[in-house]
Amino acid sequence: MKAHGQKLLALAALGLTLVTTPVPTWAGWAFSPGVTISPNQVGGSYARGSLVGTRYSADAVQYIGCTTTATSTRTECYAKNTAGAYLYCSSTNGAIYDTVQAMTDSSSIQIQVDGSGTCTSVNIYHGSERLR
Amino acid sequence: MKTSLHKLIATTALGLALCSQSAPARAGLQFRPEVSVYSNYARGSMAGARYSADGTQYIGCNFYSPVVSCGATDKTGKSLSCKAYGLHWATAIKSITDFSHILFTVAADGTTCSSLDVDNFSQHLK
Repeated sequence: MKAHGQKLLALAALGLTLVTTPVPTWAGWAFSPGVTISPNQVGGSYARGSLVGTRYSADAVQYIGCTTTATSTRTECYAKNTAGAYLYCSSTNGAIYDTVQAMTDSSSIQIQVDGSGTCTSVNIYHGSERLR
Repeated sequence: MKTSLHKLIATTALGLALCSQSAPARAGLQFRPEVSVYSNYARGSMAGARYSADGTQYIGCNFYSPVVSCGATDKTGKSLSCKAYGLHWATAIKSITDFSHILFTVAADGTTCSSLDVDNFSQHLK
């Protein structure tokens, strides 16, 4: 009888603990795609993906990102998809350099590359649905 | 008898201890408005939209220097978007973070952005 009472009390305490432990609500529209690399229409290729979708993907392969060098306004972008396909480009275009400055932890990036490995455009998108 | 009582006290204490280990209290002023779309402007916070109860609303901006475009959809599906050209827009776009509040207005032509305000305040944080 006493053992039963103790079990009941323990279960009640456990239940209370679970109920009072807040769980984050992850509602709202969420869209965080991983990295896609495809050929484009000018003999090059493009990569696109969100930083959140890539970073928290199921695999440990894909990534996407850009680096900028202030001394030469040089931009380099890199991407790899789940299958291991790789994209790299570089540019000293001022507009591309300027665009990359807008990147945040939750941006989406689209990188266009021509056949010679030069970045021809970079798009940065900030949207609420890209947040983790 | 004493052993049973000890076990009872220990179990209760454990339960209470676990109860008190919940997440830190999130005090402080919080204000994360969801997306509102009107005829010539839209506004909303990134966090308010992302963590809303519906799966429809969003607000965001795209940057392809010097082209800026912004768009928003509210929870009823009403949408508004605009586009602008010019390097001065870049400054505002670059200040958007995960927890910004965005307000953009659309000119009379219905497609050109006439203003873009980006607010970064502590109350907009999740």
